[in-house]
Amino acid sequence: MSVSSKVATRRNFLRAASGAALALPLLEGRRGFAQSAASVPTRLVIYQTGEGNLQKRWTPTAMPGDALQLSEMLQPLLAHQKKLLVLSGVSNKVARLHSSNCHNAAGHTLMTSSLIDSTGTGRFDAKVMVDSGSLCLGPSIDAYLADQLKIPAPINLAVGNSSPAENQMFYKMKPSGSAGANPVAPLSNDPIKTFKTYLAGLPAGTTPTPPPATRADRFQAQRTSVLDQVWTSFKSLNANVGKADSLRLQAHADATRAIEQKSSYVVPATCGGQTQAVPANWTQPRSPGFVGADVQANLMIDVMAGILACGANRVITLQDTLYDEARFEFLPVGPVSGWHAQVHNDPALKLGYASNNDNPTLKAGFLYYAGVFNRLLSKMDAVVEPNGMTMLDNSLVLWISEFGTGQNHSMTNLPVVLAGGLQGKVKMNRYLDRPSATLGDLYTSILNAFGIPATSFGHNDGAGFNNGVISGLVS
Amino acid sequence: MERRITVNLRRHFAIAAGIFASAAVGCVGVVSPGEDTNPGRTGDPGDPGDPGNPNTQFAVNCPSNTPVPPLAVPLQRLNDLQYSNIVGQLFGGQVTVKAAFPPPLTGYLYSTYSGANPMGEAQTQAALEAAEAVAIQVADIVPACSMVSAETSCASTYLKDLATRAFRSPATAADMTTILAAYSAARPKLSYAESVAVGVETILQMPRFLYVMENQPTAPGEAATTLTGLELAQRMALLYWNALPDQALLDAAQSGGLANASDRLSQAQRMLQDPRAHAAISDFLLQWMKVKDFHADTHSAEIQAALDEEMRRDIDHALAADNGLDDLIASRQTSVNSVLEKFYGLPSQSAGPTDWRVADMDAEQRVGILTHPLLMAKFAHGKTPSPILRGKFVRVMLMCDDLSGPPPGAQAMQDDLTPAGATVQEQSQARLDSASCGACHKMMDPIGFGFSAFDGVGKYLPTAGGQAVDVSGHIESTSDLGGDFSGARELGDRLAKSAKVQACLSAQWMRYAFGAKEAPADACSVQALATRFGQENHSLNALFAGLSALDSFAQRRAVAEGSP
Repeated sequence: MSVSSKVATRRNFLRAASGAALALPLLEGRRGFAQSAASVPTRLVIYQTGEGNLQKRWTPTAMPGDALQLSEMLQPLLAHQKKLLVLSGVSNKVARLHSSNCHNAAGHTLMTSSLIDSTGTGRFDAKVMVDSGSLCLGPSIDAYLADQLKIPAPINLAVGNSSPAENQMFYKMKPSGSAGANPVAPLSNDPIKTFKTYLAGLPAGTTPTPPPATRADRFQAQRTSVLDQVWTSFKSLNANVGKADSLRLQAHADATRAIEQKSSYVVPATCGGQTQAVPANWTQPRSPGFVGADVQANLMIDVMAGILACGANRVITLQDTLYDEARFEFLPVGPVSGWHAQVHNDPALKLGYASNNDNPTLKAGFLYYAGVFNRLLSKMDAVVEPNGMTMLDNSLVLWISEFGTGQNHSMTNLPVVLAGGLQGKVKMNRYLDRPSATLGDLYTSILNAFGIPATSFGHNDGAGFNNGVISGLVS
Repeated sequence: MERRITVNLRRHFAIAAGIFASAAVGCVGVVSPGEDTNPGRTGDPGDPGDPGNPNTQFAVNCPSNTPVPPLAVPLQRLNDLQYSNIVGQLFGGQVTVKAAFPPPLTGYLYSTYSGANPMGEAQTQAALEAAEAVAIQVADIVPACSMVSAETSCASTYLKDLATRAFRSPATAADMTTILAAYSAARPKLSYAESVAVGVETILQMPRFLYVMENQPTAPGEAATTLTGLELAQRMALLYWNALPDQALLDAAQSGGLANASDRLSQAQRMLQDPRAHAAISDFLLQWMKVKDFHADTHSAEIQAALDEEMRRDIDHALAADNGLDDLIASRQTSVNSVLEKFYGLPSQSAGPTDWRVADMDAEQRVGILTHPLLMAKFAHGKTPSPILRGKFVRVMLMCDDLSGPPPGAQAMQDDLTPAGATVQEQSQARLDSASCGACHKMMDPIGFGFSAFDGVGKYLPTAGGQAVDVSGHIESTSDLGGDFSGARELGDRLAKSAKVQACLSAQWMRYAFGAKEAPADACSVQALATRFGQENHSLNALFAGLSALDSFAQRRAVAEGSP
């Protein structure tokens, strides 16, 4: 398979990302689930963090028989060791083709393994610098898989920013020649809004375990929508009444708007025996500082688990976009100033540590990411599905970063952790070191694990960007 | 107008003429001349802060061959009863409705005043919850749609029909866009029936449902608009029934019948015969008498309940007798049960609290509703009767004279006038003797003296310490009411026969019906109604129906800026 044939064809992607598909994710999600009711659906979940990891402390020690011995940086995942596969050696070779500030190309290609439209004309040019808004020429693995499985487009969530920015990875894909198309997947950093969109008021009977929402709950969840329409209906009236009455109506309309905006009631969703709820008075972390990014991440994970358990979507990504401004004010080492700079300055000599990777701030930060990932796995592992396996067992969960080592922006040896096993398609509790594997190979392997017979993914000009399924990865 | 009410046609209506008629009175603290500057609160007894005109006359030179100007009616919002009745009609009584709005704000002459019914966040929230509660029930009665593919079409048909009835006029394309957007947003998560009910919930919060929408000129001075048949039907149905028009009224509206004053009159007379009219008329009369929902905390619950029922029966009796104000404010009969027999000291003939009988009472003790214990207690400070409030009630509600509120520091002035421990009478006399207080208080206190035989809880105590209580009073007025009187009986009889009071009642009914005090331009409408009232031998029903027959009823002019 090659780019010119079936892999990552833009036409296929367009279908997945068309307006209709994006507008009715829930409706289609329910239908998609109903069709596979006889068997429990598989899911793909991807967690992305920035700045690689501390290679010396992250890379597991090779053991006989691919046995997994969790490294220092992966210790937070200990409870799930039997459901983990750690993979080292994967390289993002495509990013190296680009002129970039070393962040943009790595980030933008991480999920696509695709060339970037650095010229803005639908054409790759190695000499033109990739900027923060540049789009890829091919789709990301999550969008492509969803399209191949004929299920709704993925949900793309973020911790930190959701606006286009440097290193805003893999969500921009621009099919060439698609005039007027908007290929940028919507990225949400608002867990409450996401919850309301996909879960609030979900009726009984459409999910693996019907949520207990009462009719009163379901109606209450519609208040924002109803009030929005009521508010709209005031606008056409004012022309027909005198000024004094117009002022009264305006006051009423204002009150309607105020209540709508204050309306924060969100019906909890219960699927798979797990109740997901979101707080009413949550506030979005904002620059500078992004205070509360940990709460945001936890909420996002709760919402993701709810969406997956309730069958509202099968492919979700969560990106921590705070690769530059991460403050970790909730950690004992926080608040951290200059996270990005500290990553760059990691070599021991610059900071006076005895050896590389000794900076306790960096250790704490990267361990925090492992903790977030662990929380995601725990949430998914708590949901028992009709086939007797947990939702984690029925899924493939990927944790990856755009760099191997953030200090030198290396795009070799990316830190890859797979979890879940996808109903046994990927054998877990192993450590694989595959120094010749590429990003394209990783995604080709994932596609095959999901039953899509791909032989390559992303850019593939025969010069070593694709080698097929990674040896021993997929059963 | 062929005939006019009898009094003072020439001097009249200083308000209408923009003349400040009270200048000669010289009340302390009188504020600005001319129109009231405290819209909506005018003349509320016990509510200070209103500039006054203590000699209002309802009549000006209104030649019978000159068209009466149309009325300015502020945008009215449905009240609780209307909301409940209409929802009941829309769904055939299959849903129960909780209170849609918090109680109207107090301090307004009538609960119908637009200022008493704002839609701030509390009211909007309440309307949201009421609509939602209705919708939750409606989800059980939405007709099923035969085909899934036809759902949007089914929903649209159902909701358009419902909205057209709810709005009292056809739902527009813009309305349906709004309603169906709410339906469509709900449909992915809710069942078909529930989603349609979300559309219903939207309808019940839209301004076209909650407000009495009428086409109107948008700026003062623009030509008046003539109401459509449906708008007239809406006005009449909401006024008399607090409900949607029935088929007969709609038929009349469609055939153009309501454009004709005599046809409107016969419709109104028909509507007043309907039991649904009783609630509206009673509500008006109770508010006019200032005892709507009044609970004297000086009475036990048992006595309060009995007094409430007695008041209801008194009003029913007066409406049935329909002999003008005689029964209403001058009858010596009332209804009593065992509780009230004891309260009034009557012979025990009733078998119990539910056994009511008509009792003839002492002519001085019972002067219609005027001396009903609730009314007497209303105008008291705790157990201490207030000749000021009693006199002000008569002056403002029955005579329609405007009085200014007390000037700043009035209480301190009173304290300076009389030593601690002075009696009510001594305090009044001191006020009247004071140059600065007396100018205004002579308009109130001497009327209140006529009720001196009633204590602060409404008990009739004609003697004190073996002496007859002094009940001599005086009405300071250039009208047919002016002069001395003795006791509540003479006062009530004089009020009941007074053309000024009859004209005032006409004005009060218009204020209640349209939720606003009449503007100067409405003076001839008031006079026209008062004339009709007189022509029909002061039949209350003729008064209530006659409003619909006014030419000015069928049109509307722009509401002036800042109107309540």
